[in-house]
This record gives sequence, structure tokens and C-alpha cells, in this order.
Amino acid sequence: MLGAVIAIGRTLRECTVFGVSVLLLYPSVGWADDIDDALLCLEQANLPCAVQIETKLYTENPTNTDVLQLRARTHFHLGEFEEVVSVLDRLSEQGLDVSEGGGFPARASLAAFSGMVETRGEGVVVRHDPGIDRVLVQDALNTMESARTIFDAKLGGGPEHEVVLDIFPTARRFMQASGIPEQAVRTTGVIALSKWNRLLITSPRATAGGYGWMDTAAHEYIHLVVSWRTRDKAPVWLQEGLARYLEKHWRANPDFYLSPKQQSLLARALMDDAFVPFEKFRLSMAYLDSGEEAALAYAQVSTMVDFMVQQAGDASLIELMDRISDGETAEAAVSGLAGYSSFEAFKKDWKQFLSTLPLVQQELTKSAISLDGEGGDFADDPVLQSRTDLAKYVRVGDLLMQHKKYKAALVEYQKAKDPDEPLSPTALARMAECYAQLGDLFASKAQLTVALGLYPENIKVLLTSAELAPKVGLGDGHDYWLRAHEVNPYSIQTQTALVEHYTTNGNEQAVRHHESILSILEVGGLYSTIPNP
Amino acid sequence: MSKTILQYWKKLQQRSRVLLVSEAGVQFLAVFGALIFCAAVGFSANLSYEFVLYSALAVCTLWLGWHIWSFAQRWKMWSGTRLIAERVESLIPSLAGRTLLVLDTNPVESFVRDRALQKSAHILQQVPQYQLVPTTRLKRMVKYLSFTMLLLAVGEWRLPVSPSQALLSLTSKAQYVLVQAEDALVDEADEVTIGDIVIEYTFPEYTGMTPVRIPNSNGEIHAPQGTHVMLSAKTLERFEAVQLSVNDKIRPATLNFGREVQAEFDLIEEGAYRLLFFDGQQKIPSQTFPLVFDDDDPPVASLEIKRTQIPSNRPLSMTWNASDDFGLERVVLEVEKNGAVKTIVLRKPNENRLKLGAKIRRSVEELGLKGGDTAIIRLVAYDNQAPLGQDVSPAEGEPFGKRGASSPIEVQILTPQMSADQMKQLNRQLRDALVLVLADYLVEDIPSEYTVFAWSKRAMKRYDAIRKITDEAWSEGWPTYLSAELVANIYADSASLFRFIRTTYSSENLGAPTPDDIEFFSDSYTAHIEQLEQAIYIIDRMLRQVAFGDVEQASKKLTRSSDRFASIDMSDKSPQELMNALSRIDRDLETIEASVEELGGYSIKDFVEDRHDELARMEAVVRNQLAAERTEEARDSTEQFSESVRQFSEGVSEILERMKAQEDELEQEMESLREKLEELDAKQQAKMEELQQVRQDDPFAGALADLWSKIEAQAIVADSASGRLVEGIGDGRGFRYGTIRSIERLDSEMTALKGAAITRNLDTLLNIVLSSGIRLRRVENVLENETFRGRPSSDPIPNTLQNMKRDNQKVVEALIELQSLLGSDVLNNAQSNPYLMEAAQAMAADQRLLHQEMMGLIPKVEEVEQQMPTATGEATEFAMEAGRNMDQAAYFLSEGENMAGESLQFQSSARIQDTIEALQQAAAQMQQMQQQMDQMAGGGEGDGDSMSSEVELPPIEPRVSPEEYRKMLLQGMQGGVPEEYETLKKKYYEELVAQ
Repeated sequence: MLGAVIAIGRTLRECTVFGVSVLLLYPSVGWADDIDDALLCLEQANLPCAVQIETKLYTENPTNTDVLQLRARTHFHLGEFEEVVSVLDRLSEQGLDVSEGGGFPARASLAAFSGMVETRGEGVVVRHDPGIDRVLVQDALNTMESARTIFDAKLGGGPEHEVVLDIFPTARRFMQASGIPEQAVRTTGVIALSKWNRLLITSPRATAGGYGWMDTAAHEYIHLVVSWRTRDKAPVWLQEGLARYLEKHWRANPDFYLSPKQQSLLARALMDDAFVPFEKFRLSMAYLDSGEEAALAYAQVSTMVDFMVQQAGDASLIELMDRISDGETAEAAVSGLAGYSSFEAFKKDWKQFLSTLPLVQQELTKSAISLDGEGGDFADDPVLQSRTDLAKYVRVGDLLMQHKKYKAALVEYQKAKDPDEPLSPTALARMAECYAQLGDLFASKAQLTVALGLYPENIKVLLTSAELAPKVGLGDGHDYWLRAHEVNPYSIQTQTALVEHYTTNGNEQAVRHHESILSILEVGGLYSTIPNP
Repeated sequence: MSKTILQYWKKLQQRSRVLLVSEAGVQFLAVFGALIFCAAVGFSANLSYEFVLYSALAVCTLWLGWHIWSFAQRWKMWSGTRLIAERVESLIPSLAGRTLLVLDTNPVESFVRDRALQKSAHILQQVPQYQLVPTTRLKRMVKYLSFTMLLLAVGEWRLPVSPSQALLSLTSKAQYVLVQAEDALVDEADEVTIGDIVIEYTFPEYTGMTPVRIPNSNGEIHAPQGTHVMLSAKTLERFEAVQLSVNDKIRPATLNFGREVQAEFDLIEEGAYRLLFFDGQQKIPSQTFPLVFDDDDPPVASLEIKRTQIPSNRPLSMTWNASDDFGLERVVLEVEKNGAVKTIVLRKPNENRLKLGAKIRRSVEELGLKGGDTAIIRLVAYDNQAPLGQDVSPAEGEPFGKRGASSPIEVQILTPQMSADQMKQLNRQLRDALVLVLADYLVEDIPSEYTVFAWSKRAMKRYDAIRKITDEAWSEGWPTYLSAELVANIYADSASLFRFIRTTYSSENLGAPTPDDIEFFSDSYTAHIEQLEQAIYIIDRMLRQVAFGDVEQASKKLTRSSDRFASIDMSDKSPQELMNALSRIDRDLETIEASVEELGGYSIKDFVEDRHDELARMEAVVRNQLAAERTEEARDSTEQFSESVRQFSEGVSEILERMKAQEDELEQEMESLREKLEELDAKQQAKMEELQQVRQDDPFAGALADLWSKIEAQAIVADSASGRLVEGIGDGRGFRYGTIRSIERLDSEMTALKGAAITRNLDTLLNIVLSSGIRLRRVENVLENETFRGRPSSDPIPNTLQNMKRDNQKVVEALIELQSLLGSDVLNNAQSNPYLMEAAQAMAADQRLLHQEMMGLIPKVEEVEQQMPTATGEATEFAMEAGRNMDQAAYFLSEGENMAGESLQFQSSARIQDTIEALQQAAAQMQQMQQQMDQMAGGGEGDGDSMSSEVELPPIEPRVSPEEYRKMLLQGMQGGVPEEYETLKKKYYEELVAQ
């Protein structure tokens, strides 16, 4: 029954698009209407439609300023910045200055893209720095191709144009291209964006310790798909809920979608019944009081989506897209699909549902991502980042370790603990090392287990786990090397370990993949621009 | 006319007498010469001594007798006027009888007489005197004398016994014998024993030594070259003469009474001497005695330079000493650099000095050095005497004596960068040494009261390593920078901890330690660990930040190097040239690599290390491409490399800027927080004053105020007296540990008592007064014990003890008085005074608001402290305590308890001020960190606290004109100054003259 509904929905959507296209091509429609339609297409993530109208209009009226503005905007969505700047120059010659703040930072984007190259995949274009960031390209293509396949299927379709993923080598260039003020990026920690029908992400190399950039790219793609599927009608909370819930689903075996921090926030909210009121973020997440509140709100909405899917099955997501596209409110659609007559009733049972989730109970500090080497010594440590008083003990512990005073170092690491929070990832990883040095492998394993549970993406925890795993009985370490690679693929040590592992296992494809990364790393990312004779 | 004649006679008489005397003298000399000649001939003819002597004496006597008689006759001939007249008339016949007229005693006036006299006078005027008294005889005598002299000369030349020897022989037989002995043979088979030898040395002037007389000498001569030696000795037998043989050269000696020898000589060369005794036949030698120069060893010079590496802006401190056995001529400092030696005269004494020494400082410029130089410095001392066999005379003003040099010391003058490196190295050593100290504390169990004393002995040794470092580095005084301050605090704290253990738990302690003692120890122990952690962290943080600064500098250099390399036209250069050009890039990369290790194992290190490794790999590719002569590819790679370097450099600079911005932000937050705290404190104080005012307005206020004044006065008396008790302990000598501890505790209690009285804290006051009885009794007991206990002589009874007893009695009296005052009804009434209760209750709401305001600030204080590397958490603790006090104040006020409320308000205010102070202290330490980091980065030199080389002129005194002032200064400068200030004086003078 649900399948039939989905099929009807799809047919209707296709008819609508066709109708709009026919109307747009109809010559009697005025330019202004055509331009509005093209802009609508752009808003609704229907890039081909916009391109089609723009091409026609430009062919007919190549000097018209409105057409030129449309052309600039369309090409900006396409990521063809040289053309955009050329059009803007022509407009300027005609006396019309389109300010950079007018919605698309063309010149800044052109500067940010300086020297970048592109690599094409199946319906995917990855644009990246030609240097060391080439190590990301194959994984980026794989991720995006998987994401397209999986999420298009899960959400009932995806954009028809080639999806462009821009990977910026530095946060500064990301900021330039995204148009987000530097202060905003640094305070909110935004490192990826789905905007202008493109996906923009910051290279993991530009962040302290790296980050799960592949999931982030998938997350941003989900936004694109949802925008396209709902004709940009999905509210932000649903957008975020869906993206967060689904972001790991491009993988064969997705992990739990909530980060430990979000889990701890939810657990506390559940215990104290102190959720962020839905009304507070229904219209915009921007009205939330703090980063912590926003994180809790995101956790709330993603679990709401999870609850809906648990109640109505995977296909409900397609239905959800259709309903919203058809104008139904997100609250009604979600609760309706989950089988509730009202959103209030949905929320009541959703809270019940939360109590069944295996949430991390400890209170954790949210990790603020540090960009371009900022954040000081403990930029990749969410606890120590802003706690010099605790960092002091870790550093003194490290000095003791350097002098092989492992017992004394352990005392210091224990001190680096806030009574209200678990130990920092750095302290946990170091303690595991100390215990291993002292021969207490059981304690070492225990520390690593805690660390991996609390900080699964922390590069120090992953590398320490990978190195100590065979010794302390946490497997052969491959999983941790692999996770370390996903977070930060620039380490020769990681890549060498993976090559060795895959060689042993006879996985030739993986060996080739990591060897190719290794070959890039071994020349420091140098590439040749000289054609072979 | 008579007068003329008489004058003529007179002159004649004078002439004749002169001639007579002259003739006699010349005749005497001639006869004496002839006699000596004859004696010489006689001695030469080996006539016996007596024969010659007596013959000579006889001839001499005869001649003398005859000559005296003859002289007297002739003298007489010219003695009377009449005789002269008669002699003149006899010589001038024309005067016959006329001149005698003059001699008439009663002459008769007559023309004839007058005419005769006139004629006589006229005649006499015509006759010159020499005609009457000629010199013929004198001339003849002179001829005789000349002949005699000739004879003597010939005799001196030719005769075996010369006339001079003959004369000496005539005066002394010994001399005759000596002469006789000259040719006598020495009987080497025989030997005369001499004894009772006395040697007297008169040392050369340069030695500055007083003469020395050595009785009962063994005859050996030991003296410096040039010493005059006087020798006396005695023989058993009698001899006729004696000679001194010094190195086989015969020298005269005197023999008295045939057996007492006296001789003297200058000690010119080493060898031997003996005496040769002449018995009339042969010479018999005495024992042979050695002649030895008392070695004038070269001077001994020593130089000590504790710190051989100094920054170029600091003086080199040296301690020198020089000594010589006979005197120092000068002491100089030789500074040898690249083979060239610069000499600096340190001392050139006017008086003879055997020892010289001083502690001096010389600026690097004065030593002729500059930053980066390595020089050999030695102290050279010259004595007063040239080395033996030195033929060449030194140039004027140059040293001539023997040279003694100290061991050479290599000194390195550090450039700012070298100083910075050295400072970094020292800080690394300090950090590592502190880490080891801390490690020992962390792995042990906190000692119990039974083990603590033994533990302290072991624990003290933990500091040996760091003490060695600080002793070596800061032997000349501790610098003022932060690391030194931190280490000094650790020393002081650990010393205090160990002192406490010694005074509390040693066997000499009086009384058993209390549970409070072990608790106090435990707190101090933990606090000391925290102090160690803090010091380690701060020093390490500075090192890491400086290392990052180094990375930034190196990355900038690397950018320039890579840009330069990228701009090279590779087609013009050979592969080798290009490889060489790459080496600069290599060096810059190595510099970065060296700094990376200091960054710690964190994000910044990861960032730098990853980028560095990438760049190094790129550079290796470029190198390989050049080696394979794939120039096109190398050019392409170089461009990419250069771009990557630029990005790296920008990234590093950006991080540094951001770190700086964060610090600025923290500073602003801190400033804003301070302002808010001060504002809150002002409000709290205003509330307290308001309450005080209310109390003053109270009708019962007068009595209460009086009472409190009395309480305060007594508390002050008790505190002062207990303070004097502590002063009486002095440096602790003569007191047992238990005594010291009891008195110190009493003093600390009395200080708390005074505080409670001032803050009107009735509860605390009562507690202290009630509990102080036992304490006072204990102090009384220990003082009594100190008076009567048995003491060894090395532990005399302190003379302050009686005064201390009196002071203790004052404390007792003050506390008795206090107890009585505290029992007053006025206080009880004040507690339940409705007027005051009402006022207190009215204020409670405001106090609550202040409390809320404080509670709002506490998280900010905590947040700021958490971000400050130098914070210790103290500010947060104070702030929380202030919050608690404010809360309690609000409670007591609401209950109408005005005095308790006011006391808590006071304490709240004090804690807020403590909070501000703790924050400011942390901020000040951050500034110190920055200053030290600047120094370690090469921005500043040395250890600070250096002696200023600038000359500071004092300001002109009022009512003194500039000219007068200048004159006064110049006069003042004529005074002497210690040697080490000579340079400053000179500079000062130059400054003054230049003005």
C-alpha cells in the first residue's frame, strides 16, 4: 500500500517538473517570469531546470542585465566561477554592480578555488586541491557515489545533476567560498555546507586531528536531496533530523547516529525532563541559546526521525518527502507517518522511545572543531581545549612519561579530571599507554574501551588503540587504523598499517587504494603538471 | 808712613807663614811617600815586617822631630815686628836702621825722622814681597814630592808589594800577612774548623724584606740573589790572617785576636765559599759552605671565573689572586683571542706586595671581546726580579720580572641568540630536574607521623640535582626571571616543610606531636606537590611557546629560501649548484625539526610536524629530480614546494596571532572581571559602613564602642608582646625546637585574636581567649625549662630569655583583661538591642542581592582561572568563600545579629579583595612569562639583574650652581674607589667631562 503511495507521489512530482519545464520553455512567457522560474528551480535544487531556462534566455538576450544576473547566479550554482566573474564584469560595464553580499560570493569563491582541480565519478564531481588532499579523492568519490545510491533510494530520489563536492584545503578558503563570516565559522565550528546546489566541506587536514569528513559529506548530500525532494519546503529541524539520522547510512554497517556527546545530553534531558521545547526551534535553530542547547535540539530531532522510521518503516521517509513537498507541515507528516494523531502524542511516545536507546550517561563536553591549527595544544581534545587547569596535569603527566615515570604520570592524568565530566581523550589514551608500559594490560584495555566509547573519532584515541590493540586484546587494531584513516588519512603510519593488513588479508583493491594514498603522502603531495612525453 | 811700613811687614809675615805651612805639607807628603816607597821596597825585598815597620817608624820620628824644630825656627823668624824689620833691613841694605824708627815707642817728632820713614816706605813700595820671601824652597819641595809620587807610581806598578799594600801592611800586620799569604799555598789536606758562625743577610731592596741575622748558623748561605752577607765566626786556633774564598775568588776578611773572623760579600752567584787561614807558612782552608740562591720562584697566580659563558651585555666576574715570595711587580689579565693577546693591567703596586687579589668585573668591551667570541683568559703576575740569565732588557714600562700565569680559562661571550639558547637549555634542565623531584613525591605514600622524620631525611636529597643546576647557573646571584622565582619558591617551601618536620618530629622535640601536626604536614605536602606541578607546567609552557616562536621564525626563513630557490633559472645552473642551493632549505627544515620536539605531543606539534614532514618529502623529491637532471620536473615541483612552504608559514603565523589574540581576550576578560569584583567589594564595604553607622547612632553605641576599643587595645597588646617573644628567639640558637614551636603558635594565635578584635568577630575572639590558657601555660613552662635546663658550654643561655618571660607575662595579663571585658553586659545587651536588630534585618535583602551578584561572578572567576596557565585555583576558592560569607552575612542579618553580620561582611570584602589579588598575581606571572619568553627567544639578553653599564649622574642638588656642582663632583672623584669600580669611575668622569 505504502509502495503504491510512493509510486503515485513520484509520478506526480515528475509530472510537475515536466509541466514547469514546458511552461518555462513556452515562448510567450515573459523574461521576468522565466527568470523567476529559473530562480525557483535553483531554490528547489533543480539545477538542470534552471540551466535550461538560463541557456535559452541567454541565447536570446545575451546583454540583458536580468538575464546576465540569472546567468551569474546559475553558473555560481554550477561552480563555474570564472564565468560568473566574467558576467559580473560585463554587468559592471553596463553600470550594474552586483554586490558580493548579494547571495553568492563569486569573486571570493574564484579566489578560494584558485589552483583547485576536479575529479569526476559516477554522477559526482569532486573538486579539491591538487596537492596532499588528493588522498581524499577516491574516498570522496566512493562516499558520494554510495550516498547518491543509498540516499536517493531511501528518500525517493535525488538531484538529477552531477553533484559537486568541493573540498577546501583550508578553513579560510572554505570561509571565502561559503560566504560565512570568519567569526561565525570559528564560533559555531561550521566546517561543511550544502548550499547553491553544491556541497562544500573543509578538508580534514585543516582541522585539529581531522574529523569524520565522509559522514559529513554524506550529511550535506542528504540536505541537498531533502531540499530537492521537498522543493525546499522541509524546515530546518527536519532537515537536520534527517541528515543526522541518515548520515552514516551510506556505509554497509552504519554506527549509531548520535555522538556520545549528544547521547549524554539526551540522557540528562531525559532524566531531568529538560528537553529543548520544540517550539523554540520549530522555525529556526538560530534562536537556540547555546551550542549545548543546539546539540540537544539536533539530538532530539534526529531521534524523532528515528522514532518515526521505527514506527513506520524505511519507506516512510519517501512518503515524508512527498508529503512535505505537497505542502503538509513537517510535524503533521512525521506524526502522521508514525501513526499518531497529533504531534504532541508523537512526542510523548518519542520520549518513551528515548528511554530504550543505549545512551551514554556521562556528561561530556562538546568537541569544538578547531580549524587551521587554532585551538592551542589541545585543539583536538574537547575537555582540555578550554581547560588550562586540567591540561596542566596532562602535560606534567606527559613529562613524567618522557622520563619513564609511568606510575607518577598516572597520578597526574587522574588529576586532569573535572568532577562532573569523564577524563579527556588525551588523558585516557595516555593512561592506557602508561598501564601498557607498566604491564597492566587489563587496565590499559579498560582505559581504551572507555576512551573509544566516549571519543570514537578522536585521532589520539584511535591511534593509541590501534597501536595497543594487539597487545591488550582489542583485536588486531585494524578497525582502529581504519577509523583513524577515515578521520585523518594523512598519516603514513596509518596507511602503512592498512596496506600491511590488507596485504595479509588479500584484499588487493584496498591495498591498491591505500598504496596510492601512501604514494601521495611519500612525496608530500607533489604532483606533476608536466605532461608525459 | 809708619802705617804703610807696618802693613808691608804684616803682609810679608802672612806670605812667609803661608809658604812655611805649604812647604811643610809638601815636604811631609814627599817624605811620607818616600817612606812608603821604601817600605814597599823593604816588603818586596822580604825584609821582616818588624824591621821595615820599625825603620819606617824611626825615620819618620827623626824626620818629624827635625822638621818640627826647623819649622819652629823659621816660624819664629817671622813672628816679631822687630825681627821682621831687621830681616827686611838686612835684605834691603838701603833701609838700614830706618825702618826701625817705626818701632820707637816714644818717637820725637822731627822732620828727619819723618823723612827717613818716608824714604823707607817709598823703598819698601819699590820692593815686591816675593823678593823678600821667595817661593824657591816650596818649588823645590814640590819637585821632591813629584819625584816621590813618580816613585810610588812605579812602585805600585812594578814592586811585588806595592806602596799601597805596604801602607796597609804598615797599618795592620794582618794585612801584611795577607799580602804575604797571597802567594802561599793552600794546604788542602788540612782543615780549620770554624764555629759560632753568625750570618746576617741584608736582602736586596726589591724583596722588601728586613735584614735577618742567623746565629749559630751551619754556614750555609741561602738568600736571594743580590743579598749582602755578613759573616762572623771563630776558630779554635789562632792564625795570622784570613781570607774569604767565594767561588775560588779571594776576598778580604778580618781576623781579630787571631781567631775571630769577620767577612762580608754580596751573593751574586751560586757556588761555595770557605775561609782560608794563614798561619805564616801556608793557607789552611775551613769547611766549604754552599752558596745557594733562595729561589725567587715565579709568582703564583690563580683566576676563578665561575661563569664562563656570559651574555655580551653583562660583565665577566672574576676572582683573582697572585702571590710571590719576594714581591709582585704587576698583575695583568691576558685575553687571548685567535692568537692575539690583549693585556689588561689589574694592579701595579707602588709598594712591595707579596700578595694581591680582588673580585672584579670587566665588561666584555673592556676585555676587547664581543658577542660570539671565544677567548682564553689567564691571570699573569710578574715579580720584581728578572729571570736568571735574561740578557735583553725589556722596553720601558714593560714587565721585567719572572712571570707566573694561572690556568687558562676559556670564556665564551654569548650573542643574544646564544644567551637565549643557553637560557632555554637551563630551563629545560630545571624542568626535567623538577619532574624527577615530583615523580618521587607522586609514587610514595604520604608519610605517617611515625615515618615522617626518616622520610624527611631522604626527601631532602631529592633536591640535590636541581640544586646542582641552580648552584652552577646562578652562583653569582639569582636572576629575576620567572623560572628562578618559581624554583626559589620551591626551595623555600620545601625548606619550610622539612623545618616543620624537624621541629615537630625530631627526638629533641619537647612534647608529643598532635593530630593537627600530621594534618598540617599532609596539607603542606600536598601543597608542595601542587607547587611543583605548577612550576613544571609554567616552565614547560614557556619552552613550548618559545619553540613555536622559533618554528615561526624558521618557517619565514624557509619561505625566503624556497622563494629564492624557486626564482633560480635552473637552465643556467648545474645540478650540483642547484643541489647546493637546496642545502639552505635543508638547514631551515632542520631548524624546524629541532624545534618540533619542544612543542610537546599535541595539536600544535602535530600541525607543525605533519607540515614539516610533507615539506621534507617534497624537498627530497626535488633533490632526486635534480640529481637525475630532470630540471623541468624539478622546476615544477619547486613551485609547488614553494607554495606549500608559504602556506605553512602563513599557517604558523596565523596560529601565533590567534594565540596572542586569545591572550588579549583573556586579559580583557580578566580586567572586566576585576572591575566587577571591585565594584562589588565597594558595595559590600558600603553596606558594612552603613551598619557601623547604625551602631554609632545607637543610644547604647558609646558604651559598646568604648568596650570594643578596650578589647582591641588589649588584643593589640597581646599581639605585640607575642611578636616580641618571637623576636626574642632570634636565629633560634639556645632554644629547643619545642620552645620555638610553642612561641610561634602563640604568636599566630594572638595575630588571629587581633584580627578578630578588629573585625568585631565576637565568636572567634571568645574561642581564642578561652583556648589560649593552655597555650600560655605551655609557653611559660618551656621558658622556665630553657632557664633551668642543663646546657653544654656551646649552648649558652640566651640573654633575651628574661625579657621574653616578661613579654609572656604581658600576654597573660592582656588575655585576663580581655576575658573580663568579654564578660561585660554591654556586649550581651548589644546582641539583643532592638534598634540594631531592626537595622540588621532591614539590610538583609540588600545583602542577599550582593550575594547573588557574587554568585554570578564566581563562574567567571573560575572560567578565567581555568584559562590562565599561571592560576592556581586560589581566586576561585576565595571567590567561593566570599560567596559563602555573603550568604551567611545575609542570614545573620535577617536574624537581626548585627555584629555577626558585620563581621561576615568584613570577611566577604576581604575575600573579594583576595580574589582580585589572586587574579592579579596570576596575571602578573603571565606577564613575567612573556618577559622570560622574550628573553628565551633572543629578544632580551642575560639573566636580568645585571649590573648597569650605564653611568647614572645624580641630579643637581638644590641651591648649588651647575659649576659648583661639577666642581664638587670632580673633587669627590679624586677619592679612591675599589678596583672593581675603577671602570665605572672612569666612565663617570668621562661623562662629567663631556657635559
